[in-house]
Amino acid sequence: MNTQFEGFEPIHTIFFSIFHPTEGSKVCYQFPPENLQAYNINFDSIKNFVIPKPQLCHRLLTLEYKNYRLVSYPVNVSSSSYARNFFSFNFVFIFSYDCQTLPYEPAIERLGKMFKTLEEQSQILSKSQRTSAFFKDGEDVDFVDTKFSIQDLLMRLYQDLNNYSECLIPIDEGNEINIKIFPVLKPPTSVQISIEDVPLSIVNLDKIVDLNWDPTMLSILPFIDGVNSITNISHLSDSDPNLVIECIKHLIYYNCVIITDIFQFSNIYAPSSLINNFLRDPMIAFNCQSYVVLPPGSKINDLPLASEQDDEINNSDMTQKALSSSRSSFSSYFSHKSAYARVSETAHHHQSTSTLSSSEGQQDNPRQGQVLPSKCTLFDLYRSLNYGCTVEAWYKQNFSTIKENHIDVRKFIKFGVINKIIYRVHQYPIMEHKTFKSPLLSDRQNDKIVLSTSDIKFDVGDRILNSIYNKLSKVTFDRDKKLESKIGNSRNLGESEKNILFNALERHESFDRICSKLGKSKNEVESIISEIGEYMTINS
Amino acid sequence: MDEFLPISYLLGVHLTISTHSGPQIVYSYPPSSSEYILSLQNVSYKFAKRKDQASKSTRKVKENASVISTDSDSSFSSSSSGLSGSEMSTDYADESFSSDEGNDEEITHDMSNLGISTDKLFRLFTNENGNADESDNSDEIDNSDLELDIKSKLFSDEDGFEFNETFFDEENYRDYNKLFGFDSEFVAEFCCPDRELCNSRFEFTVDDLCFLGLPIRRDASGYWRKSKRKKHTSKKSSSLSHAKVTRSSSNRSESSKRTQSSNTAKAYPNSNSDVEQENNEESLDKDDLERNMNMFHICFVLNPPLTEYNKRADDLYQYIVARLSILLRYFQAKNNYVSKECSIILKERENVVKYSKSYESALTPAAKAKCVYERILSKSSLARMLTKCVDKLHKNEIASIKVGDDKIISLQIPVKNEFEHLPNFKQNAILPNSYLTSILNKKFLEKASFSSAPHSSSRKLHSSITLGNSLILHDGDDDYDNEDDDILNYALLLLDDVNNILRTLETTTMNSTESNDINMIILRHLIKHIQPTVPLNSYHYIITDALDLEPSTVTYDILRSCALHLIYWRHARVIIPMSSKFTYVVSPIISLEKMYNVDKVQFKKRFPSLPTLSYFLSKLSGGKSSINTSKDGDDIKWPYSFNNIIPSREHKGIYLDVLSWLIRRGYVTQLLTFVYIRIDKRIKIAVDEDLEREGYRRGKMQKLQMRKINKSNRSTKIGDNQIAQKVDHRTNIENDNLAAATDKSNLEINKNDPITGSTEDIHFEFDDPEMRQDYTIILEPERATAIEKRWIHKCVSEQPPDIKNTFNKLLKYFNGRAPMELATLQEGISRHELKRLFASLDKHLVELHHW
Repeated sequence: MNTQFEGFEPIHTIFFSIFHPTEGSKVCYQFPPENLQAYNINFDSIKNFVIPKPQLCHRLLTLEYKNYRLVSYPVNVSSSSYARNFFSFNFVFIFSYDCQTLPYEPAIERLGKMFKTLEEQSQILSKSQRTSAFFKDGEDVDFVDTKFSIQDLLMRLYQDLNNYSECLIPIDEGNEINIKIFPVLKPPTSVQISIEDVPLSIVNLDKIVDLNWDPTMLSILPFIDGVNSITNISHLSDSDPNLVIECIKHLIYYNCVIITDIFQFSNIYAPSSLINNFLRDPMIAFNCQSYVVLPPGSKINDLPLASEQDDEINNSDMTQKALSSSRSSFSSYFSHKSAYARVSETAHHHQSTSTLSSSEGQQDNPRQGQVLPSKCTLFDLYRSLNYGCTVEAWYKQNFSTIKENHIDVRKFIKFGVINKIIYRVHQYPIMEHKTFKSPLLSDRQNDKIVLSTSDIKFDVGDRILNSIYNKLSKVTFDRDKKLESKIGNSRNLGESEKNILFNALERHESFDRICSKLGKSKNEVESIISEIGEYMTINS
Repeated sequence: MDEFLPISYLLGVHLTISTHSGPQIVYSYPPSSSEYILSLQNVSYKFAKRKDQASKSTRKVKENASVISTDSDSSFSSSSSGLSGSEMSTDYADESFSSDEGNDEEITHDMSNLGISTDKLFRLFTNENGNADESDNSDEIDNSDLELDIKSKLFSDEDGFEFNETFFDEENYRDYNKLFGFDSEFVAEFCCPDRELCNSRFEFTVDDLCFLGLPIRRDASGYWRKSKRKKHTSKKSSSLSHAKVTRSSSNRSESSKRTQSSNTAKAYPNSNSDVEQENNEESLDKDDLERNMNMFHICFVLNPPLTEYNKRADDLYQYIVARLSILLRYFQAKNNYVSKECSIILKERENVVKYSKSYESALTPAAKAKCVYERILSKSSLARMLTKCVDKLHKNEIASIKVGDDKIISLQIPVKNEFEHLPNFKQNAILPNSYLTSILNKKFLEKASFSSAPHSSSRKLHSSITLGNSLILHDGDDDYDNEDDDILNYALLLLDDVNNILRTLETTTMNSTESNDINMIILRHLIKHIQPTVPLNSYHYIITDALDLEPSTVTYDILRSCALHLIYWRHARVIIPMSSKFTYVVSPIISLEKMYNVDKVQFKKRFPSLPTLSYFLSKLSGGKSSINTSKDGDDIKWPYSFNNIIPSREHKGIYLDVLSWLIRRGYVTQLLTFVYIRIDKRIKIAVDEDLEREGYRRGKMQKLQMRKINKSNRSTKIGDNQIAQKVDHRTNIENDNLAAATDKSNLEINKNDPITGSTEDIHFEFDDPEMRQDYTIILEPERATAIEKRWIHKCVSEQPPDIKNTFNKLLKYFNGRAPMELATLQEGISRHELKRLFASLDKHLVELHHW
């Protein structure tokens, strides 16, 4: 998927073939000269595909022949002025068999169409043969004004396309051949992005940005930094999340960004089967060393561990969110009593590293004199991540190593995810209807289960759910109220938010997505859900 | 984009032959517009997801469908208008089954049920003496699960054969003489290429339409296969040997075929005369075609999206086109099978057009065509085979087709549903319930087909020849024992209910004579007894018992081919024998959003007495509680085994059942342990000292010098380091200068030692106490260099002999790629020994855990 574009396959041979009124199908010119003979391409066995019956003309044909693939667009021009009332020709491009001929195909088709028109208008090709055999009354044909040489055309096509992947060849005063070959990319439609995904740019977007870009795209660009999720980006740039997703899809299509997850200290990561690459591909380990190291003088690891704070873990997973929000003065969105939010004084510092991260491809200058973490250390750290512990726990276990080696945890994780050394273990809250504490809610949940099994679409389910909810809330007024107060102790969950939550639970969405939808931290969401009923977490 | 999804983009197939009177298309299928065929495929994918869920409920309907079909086939009036009526009702029934909603359908459903019972009676009546056919029919029905899901109506004729009726619907039908917009004569023309293009891959695309085939032409001296003998020896010899073996069974099946055709005749009372007539004429005409046909070409037509073009075309060619064509060439050379069949088809078409009353009475061209197709299909096995092939490929199923009377081949485009590395499923859709594992089933199948090429073909089974014919013959000589990756060390996990598999198994062998074959008996036994917790080796007794043979390579090979057969037919997966002592985790590629609601119900049905699916999944997630405990007290150390979630000894059996269910559905994958050897500084120093003592070293002076050099180097920039890394990356990650130092000194010892990166340069103080944790990892212990070997030996030098012994046995698996769970099985090492080894060599072994 992520294979880098490696240039276009060269053209092996171009030849021009016509149907001669007396000699039949034949090759008129080829470039490089005598290439067909040299590579043992027998024209006689393929001539029926090169100059085919009219049914196949004006269609793009490709034929496999030996180890070659012939791509052509045969043209048949009928006119009473020709000796046989028609004139057939074809520009045939030969490639080696196993190559992508796709980029050339539209160009070849266009070339054929163009010469069809030119031939119809001025008989440029038939006249260039300088023989009267093609015409009914050959003596009257005036060959004087044809300076056009097909041989030259083939040569220039071949050379320019192979060397520059484009060409501009004038034919006469009014016409010229313009070809530029573009790589064919897969259509972007199937990319499924959801709002909790974090785009991470792998090229320097600032350098390729163009004023003519879509306004939404321009507005979201500054926030694509590998930290902000799509929800976050849409809030920060004040754009619709769907538009943001659309933009990100485009960036993915052009291979400018990749999708990662939200970094939180409550995340779980585990090594993937590609962790071997860290050992076997020296570039990965090398890049990792310089990528994950903190800039000299960074104090981030000197900060006290979250757990040492009186108000424990509660918000530590919000670190990065808090960071990004404090940085962009987008403070209303997240509460940041978090211990790490104190980092805000060093946030400036951190910001510089994040921007570095967005242009990850280009390595920063090796920091003079700074000791990089050894590969062994990094390997051991990656290895020690596992299904059973959160980044937070892992960080505590390895705190001294991380501190000594000046490792930026976020970048360390990010690097692993990007290179697929490790992967994010997503967490899904699953609620079974049996385990509800509150009878009210269990009723509600039961209804939901019925709906889910009977395959009713979600929007229908929503409506019913809403009506049920409304009814129930009227009837069992005080119980509901109690519950309400229980849930909404510090955070008042609005009606719509509740629906979001119920739907998310119904659809078995991941914690990340629920958190993004509700704009709450995982801990908050967890406690809300646990107040609704018992749930289980599935890590996958 | 959708490259992991099994969509073949296959439109159809046609058979072109070239005779002295020029090329002509003998048979083409389906006679439908390309838009319709493609729409069908897309639907089929969407519904495939719900296959399991719906298959049970649709079973009844399926039977109905087939009953109706027999009904209509044998109806004397054979007016197609009546037919479409019954079609409608089944269609509605389908819908009501697959989506249980709404009341209107409910009613139609009931009505169709009423109709069915009468149909059943009728069927019993018509089929009373065709028992073989009956079983065939019911089996076909099984196979058609999916088809009904996609709401296409199925009709199976007397031969246990079906084709898709909707291709003949008025709106979908295209002119019989047109092939995807081209005149068929014209297509025939360009599908009969010049001699030079024959006997090799033929691929011709017109705009988006790709004609893909392998035209087979006689050589100049009139032989079908001679010119290619050199190239295809292996394949041919294999098929030859098959033919010999299958000879005997072929006679039997031939006789059964006779009875079948007589049945057919009974079912078509008005066609009796035709059959006789044809029998008389056949001999004359056959000779004619035999002499004249100089080329045949099974040409598939497909329409893949541009970006997937190469993959789809290559897949189809590799798995279907080439295999089918080469097999047919073999039969043509042997007994003119293709030309015989061609003449049958041509004859039959002529007969129908000329004499058939039903053809005349058919009003529309589509109905007429249907008439022709029905008759051709009832007569020609080649036509049946091509039709079935296309129909099955449309549904991504395995086409198991009878070639001639004596051979069955099975073709499929493998489904990509297992991944070794985590796929980027946000960007590339993958099939739901895919597997994520290092134990790739594909590898076994590929290895089998590969190793079969030079040997006999018995293991080629999956590629072309089914078990029935291929198992017995095997000529002993074998290098399997040397291969460390023997399938017999693994276990098989059946992917479906045992009874379901047994039923489908009968279908694939097609006729009853063969299902009584000794191989079938073995296979049935195996399926009945097999447990995912037990390695295949343990089932060897089934074969020796059944065949009454002494254990030998032959018997082991039979077991192997049985296993491969089951994998190939998607009945089973190869796994490491399940055990409650292993660790299992929730697979990262499951999509709860898509699968959970359905599977939750399934799970409850399957295990009514156990907690919910989510309970098990969360337990296998490392569970919330376990995270907490590790935070507080760290009582259970991750990774913990499956044992930990089994509440009591009595529950073990059922919990393992649950586990196998979870693995089967792709929910859970085994967390495997991979091991590397790490060589730390102490070992290196020790080895260094040994070397010195042995007198290789010229003196301490040099070493000191070396150190000085190192020290002076240590502040070099990283940029240089990069170069050094490039030089040095082949086997080790050299993390410390010490390794480099030893390497340098070893240059004198071992001149060939390629490890010595002489430009290695260091940015760590080598005698820095902090650097104690730096080490070298040996990536390939089997190919270790001299110095690496010394290091490795040093690691175990102080261990007791039993540990040394275990270590040496396992040494070759310490490459980070071979799971320990498997290595212990292969080397017969107990878990206890392994534990001991790990405990005593803790410092020298690096453990990795992934799938």
